[in-house]
Amino acid sequence: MAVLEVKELTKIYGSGDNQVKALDHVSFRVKKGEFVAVVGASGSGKSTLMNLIGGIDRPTSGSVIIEGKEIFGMNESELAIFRRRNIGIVYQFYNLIPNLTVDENIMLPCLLDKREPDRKKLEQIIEMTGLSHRRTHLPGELSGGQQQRVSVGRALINDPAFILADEPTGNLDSKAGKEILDLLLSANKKEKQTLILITHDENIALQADRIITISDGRMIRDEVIRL
Amino acid sequence: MNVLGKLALSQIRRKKARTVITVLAVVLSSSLLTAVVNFAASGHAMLVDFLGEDYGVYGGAYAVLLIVPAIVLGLLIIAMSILVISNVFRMSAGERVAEFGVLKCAGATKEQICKTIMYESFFLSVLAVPPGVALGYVLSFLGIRVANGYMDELNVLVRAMMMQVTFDLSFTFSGAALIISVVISVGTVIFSALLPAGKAMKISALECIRSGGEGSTVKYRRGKRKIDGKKAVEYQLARRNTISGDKRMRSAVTALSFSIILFVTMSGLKEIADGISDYISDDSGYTVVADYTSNYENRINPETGRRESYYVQTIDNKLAEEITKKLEAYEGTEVFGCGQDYFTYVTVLGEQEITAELQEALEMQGEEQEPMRDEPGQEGAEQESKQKGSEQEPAQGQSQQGSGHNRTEYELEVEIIIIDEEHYKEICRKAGAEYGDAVLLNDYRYNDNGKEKNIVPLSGSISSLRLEKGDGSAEAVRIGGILEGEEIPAELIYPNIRPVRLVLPYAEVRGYNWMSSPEDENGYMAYAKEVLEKYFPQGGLNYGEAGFVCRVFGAQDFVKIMNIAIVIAFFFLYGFVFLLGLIGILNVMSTEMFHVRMRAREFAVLQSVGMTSKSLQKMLNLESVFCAGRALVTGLPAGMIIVGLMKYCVQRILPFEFRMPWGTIFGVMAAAFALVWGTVRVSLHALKDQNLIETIRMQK
Repeated sequence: MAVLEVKELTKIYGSGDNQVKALDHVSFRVKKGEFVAVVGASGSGKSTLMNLIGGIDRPTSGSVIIEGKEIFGMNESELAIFRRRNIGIVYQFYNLIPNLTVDENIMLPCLLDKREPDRKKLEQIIEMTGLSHRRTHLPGELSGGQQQRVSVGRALINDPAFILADEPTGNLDSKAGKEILDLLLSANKKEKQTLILITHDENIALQADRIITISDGRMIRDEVIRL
Repeated sequence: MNVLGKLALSQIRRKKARTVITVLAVVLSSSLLTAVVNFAASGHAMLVDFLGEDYGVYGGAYAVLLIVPAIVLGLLIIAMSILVISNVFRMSAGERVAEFGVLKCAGATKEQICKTIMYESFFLSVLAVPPGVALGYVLSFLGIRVANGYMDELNVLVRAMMMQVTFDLSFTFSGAALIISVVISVGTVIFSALLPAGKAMKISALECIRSGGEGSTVKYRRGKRKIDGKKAVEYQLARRNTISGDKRMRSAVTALSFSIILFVTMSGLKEIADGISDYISDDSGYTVVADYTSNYENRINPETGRRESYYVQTIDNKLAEEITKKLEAYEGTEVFGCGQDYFTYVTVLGEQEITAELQEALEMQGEEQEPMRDEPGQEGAEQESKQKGSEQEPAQGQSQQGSGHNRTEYELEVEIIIIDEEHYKEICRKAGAEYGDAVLLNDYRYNDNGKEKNIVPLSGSISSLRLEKGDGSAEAVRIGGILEGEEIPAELIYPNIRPVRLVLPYAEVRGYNWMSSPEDENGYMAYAKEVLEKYFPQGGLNYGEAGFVCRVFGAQDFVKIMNIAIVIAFFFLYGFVFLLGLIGILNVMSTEMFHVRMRAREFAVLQSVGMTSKSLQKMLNLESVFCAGRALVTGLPAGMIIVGLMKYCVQRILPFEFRMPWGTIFGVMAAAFALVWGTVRVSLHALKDQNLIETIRMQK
């Protein structure tokens, strides 16, 4: 069964003469444990696709089905709750809450769900991200690479259906970028965590199981690199 | 204009909401400073007109009365203004960190970075100080007009009671005052900008570029409590955000606390003034009082070493009665005449002759009362306390009770009262005394830690008193009857009475009052003035020169004067506090708006990781409660302590009824919550149209 199913997804911005078709009838499916890289030039529509899959934007038409549920049939609150339980998002600019510690930032989706996080899971993530000596630090006290590791940890804490990573290494130096990619790959390989990674870096894309290429809002290629 | 000036100007233009709030804050602070300086100048002109160029004999005291409040109020305004304006510049500088980075990379020096902030302060001064100064003059002009509206009435009353005084506060335009106002106002703005400018200078180009904006330059504090799933996360996040809030939020909270303190203190002061006014109000039921008061001098008798009072011209029953009859000759007028002498006599009583309540009262007052009598065997030296300890020798003329132990004696001040013939007869009848007897008014009211306590001071069995004077002479008075509590006529119940009160058939006293409720008040007052002038011709001399003063006035005039003075004082104080509070409120609004805007990205992130709009709203509502709560937690107790201290100090002198201004306290609480909550709502509304995705993608 597909973890994610994107059907005829279309997004049009503006109206009349100013209409811009950011996404044009895009359809694909992602299986559990798969690592999919979405590539495309700047302005091709890959971020629009990510925002729609992540449920933080609504399409003009089409649907996104995550683990059998059509997400746009939900209202805003239901979607927010669904998002925190089923989707882990990693942004290029970390997007951590500045006055929460490393632990608290990682636990945030659980806390928003009004439940104590699974301690074992938290310890596992802390160990995996190599942040055991920085657990009580605030984001401002961490390097960019460390902040992004916290962001990955936050995405993993709820065992989501998939992780959606938007240029996660784009704001990091090559060493820190490699560490983050290794972290995501490790989650994908060891934990069978489904990973959808948006990038324009060909070398990163080549590490994926499958590459989806977007150009001018259309999916022009969907090639499987490895089985 | 150079590039630095242009950048500062563009910042002012771009951040319209903040510019408007800053300009308003500067206008308010300049106007308040100008109003205070101009009031001081107008007050100076009034005193020069009233007392002469050097303010006369008490020139120093008057100068202090004028300058000290002006300096205190000025410093309060400057402190609040610096707190508010520097906060605005801190926010402005914070937003421009990236711009400073670019400037530094392009070769700008530290001084140039400082200059661009100073340009901003200069432009804001140019924009806000002139209208502020103009508004200050308008405020002082209007304030003086309002004050003069009351002043006319005050002058009528004061002239009726003191004859010669005329207060005339007129609007004065002084060039020096204008220069002082402008210099202080501009100086305040520039100084406020210097603090954040100094900090901006110190950030390196690399830091500026890396920071790229406000976010990472803010120093957050780690929370002590860990956030967990046990409590609602909205509550925990709101609490953390409030505690670990940045310096700007702390400044807003301080400004709000400061405003709360001012409002609560002012309301407390008003309650105290009202309490005093109620306490001193005359409720004897008469409408007109004519009085005579002799000047007096306190001195130490060279032979006995005891204090005695010398009266320039006393009044006795005979003369007072003659005047009473004359006054009663006015149609439809009945007069109650009574005179008092508080300072001439003392009496020494043993503990059996006074009640336990009086002993308790005297013990309580022991340390506060002045010594009146020599220690036996130490001529010329004053006694430490009025109460003589049991180890002391009994006073001369006193018999020692029992055998083998000493008795305690109390030296008590005596109030001698004389009253008109008709009412004296009535008192004798009521007390079961014969005409010509002394009647003891066995009633004592004293200040018991701020509350008026009413007790029966002397034992009911007392039959005579030995009255001693400061010159050592003494006379025995037989008590023919005793009146207690409600038996005592209302006319003889007033503040500042003595523990021993004797109505004598004949005495010479310092002053006398003729109280009446004539049908034709104005006609009677004019008539009474003529009568008193005939008996006590003052010849245009004042109290000091003539040795006495005669007045005819409305019984409520003292209270009216007090009320007018209260109204004038509180008109200015409330106006001042309101405007100063407004500066603080502007700071809260400006900071909250800025704070919410700067956190747009944080809100977007929270939403992106699954926080619902309802939860976000709940978190912000709780933050508003915590933020206002923090200001209230410091502001309310501080304000209430100040009010309590003021009340304590005044109640040491007057036992007036005091009510904590709970109405204002609850009003202030509601207003603080409403202000923060309303500002957050308005700021959030502005964010409503913001694109969540773009906000999240915003570069740090």
